[in-house]
Amino acid sequence: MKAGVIGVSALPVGRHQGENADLLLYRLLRDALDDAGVDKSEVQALFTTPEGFTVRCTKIRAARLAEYMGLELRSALVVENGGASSALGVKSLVREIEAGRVDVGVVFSSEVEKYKFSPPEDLHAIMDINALYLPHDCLYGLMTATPYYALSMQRYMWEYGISHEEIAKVAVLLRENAGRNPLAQYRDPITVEDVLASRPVSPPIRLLDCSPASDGGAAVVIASEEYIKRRRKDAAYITGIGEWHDDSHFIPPTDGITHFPAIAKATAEAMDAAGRKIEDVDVAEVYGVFTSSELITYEDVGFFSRGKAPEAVAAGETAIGGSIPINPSGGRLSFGHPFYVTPLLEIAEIYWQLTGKAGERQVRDPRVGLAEAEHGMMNGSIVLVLEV
Amino acid sequence: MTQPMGWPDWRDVDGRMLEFLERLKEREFATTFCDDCETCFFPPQGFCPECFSEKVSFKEPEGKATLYAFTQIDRSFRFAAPDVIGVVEIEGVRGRVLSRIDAPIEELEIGMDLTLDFIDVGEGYLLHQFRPAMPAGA
Ligand SMILES: [Zn+2]
Repeated sequence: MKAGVIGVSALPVGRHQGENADLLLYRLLRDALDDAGVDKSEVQALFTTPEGFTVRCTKIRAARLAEYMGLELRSALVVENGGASSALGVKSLVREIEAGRVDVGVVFSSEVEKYKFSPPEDLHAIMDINALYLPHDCLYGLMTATPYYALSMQRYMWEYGISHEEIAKVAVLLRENAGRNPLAQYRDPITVEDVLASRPVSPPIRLLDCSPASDGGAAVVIASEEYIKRRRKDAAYITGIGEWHDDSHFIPPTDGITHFPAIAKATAEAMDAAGRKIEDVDVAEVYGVFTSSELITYEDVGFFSRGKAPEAVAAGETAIGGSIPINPSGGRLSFGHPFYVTPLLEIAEIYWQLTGKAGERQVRDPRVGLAEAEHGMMNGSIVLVLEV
Repeated sequence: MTQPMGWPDWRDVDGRMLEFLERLKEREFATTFCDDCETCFFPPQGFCPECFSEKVSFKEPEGKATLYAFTQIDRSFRFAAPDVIGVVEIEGVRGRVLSRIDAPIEELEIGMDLTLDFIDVGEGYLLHQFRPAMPAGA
């Protein structure tokens, strides 16, 4: 039994400070069901993520959300595995549908994050963030993922002889795409010079090499093929899923940091399950959080060989009218990056693209789409193939 | 509720990080060695990631240290900002060592040989750091 996406909803990415994250979720669910033309009584599964990265996370969350919305469910789950969480939620829901337990379900997530911390009130949040970066790393006060990606970008430039100028072009292109996305956080055009002149964060990474930390929310309604046919819905079928987790969280013990094997392995599994080759993909959304990791991801998914992504971007191959449009939404860099929500935004964009609903950024007649999400420094990856 | 050096107690699964810090105080940079499969691994932990043995003991790695990659953090909460950090590879050790590098970033190159060093961080603690090895004859 195949499963397909039949409706989505999403909030503008940016700041939703002062709003209640749960209330945002309830509205997202209502709007996604409206979009799908599904009645609330038909929802049998509800999968979500924790509340956010910097805020307090509660227990028994899925049941509490269901109670507020008056939903009786056959399946309820909170999924946590960093940035891959909501994509893993989609996978779990697809498996429930494939197993024949569920006809219609929703994966949703919202984030209203905290951007300023004041000890001692926020000590717990600070400790939890610090603890992400392994005991020996946090001794040096890392506190963010940026230095890790800076190390990766430095070696990527060094190993392949690539300049920052060549890397910066992808930020410019993503911003151009975001200019056509009304939900995107950053929409004003930028130039390569702007990227190179932006504030140094962790050399060689500068501010415009980074994705922003964002608030946002999205919901994805998924149904069985039988339901889709019976109710005559437009659907983007999920035809292949792949997943891989390395034995490392940030810096791998032996493997390189200029390619991310988990992405290649997850993509291979997803392609195999879909009976597709990478050349069949017409549009992709990937989880690139920095310019360099964006480019490396293009290479590991298999669109370009190693060290060749910058040149492909410069040649326009990844642009909306190019041979393989990647991140037409503006990507994490310019669409914005509420990290638990991001995979759902990627899947929403692929759904919009495959069903011809992507407006000004519509790719021409795509049939096969790919969405990729990750956790750690790409140490874990999940890839979904969607088709119409 | 926190361990020394400001890291959360729930990451110290088996007490080996505390022992690591205690040994650093004696200017000893030692990590864990599996007595069963003879893997030397970093960070120190009480459970061998290769063979699951809990028969591990501390050992000072003797292999050559080289600089794998480096960057600078401008919001270091422990050291004066900006501060240089790097990933160090030590021959014979499974796992790379993230460390402060005691040199201006302009003077560093990927692949250069490094020498182990220590830095006083107050409260009675020392941390490991590395600096470029003196070129032969210098
Ligand atoms: Zn062992």
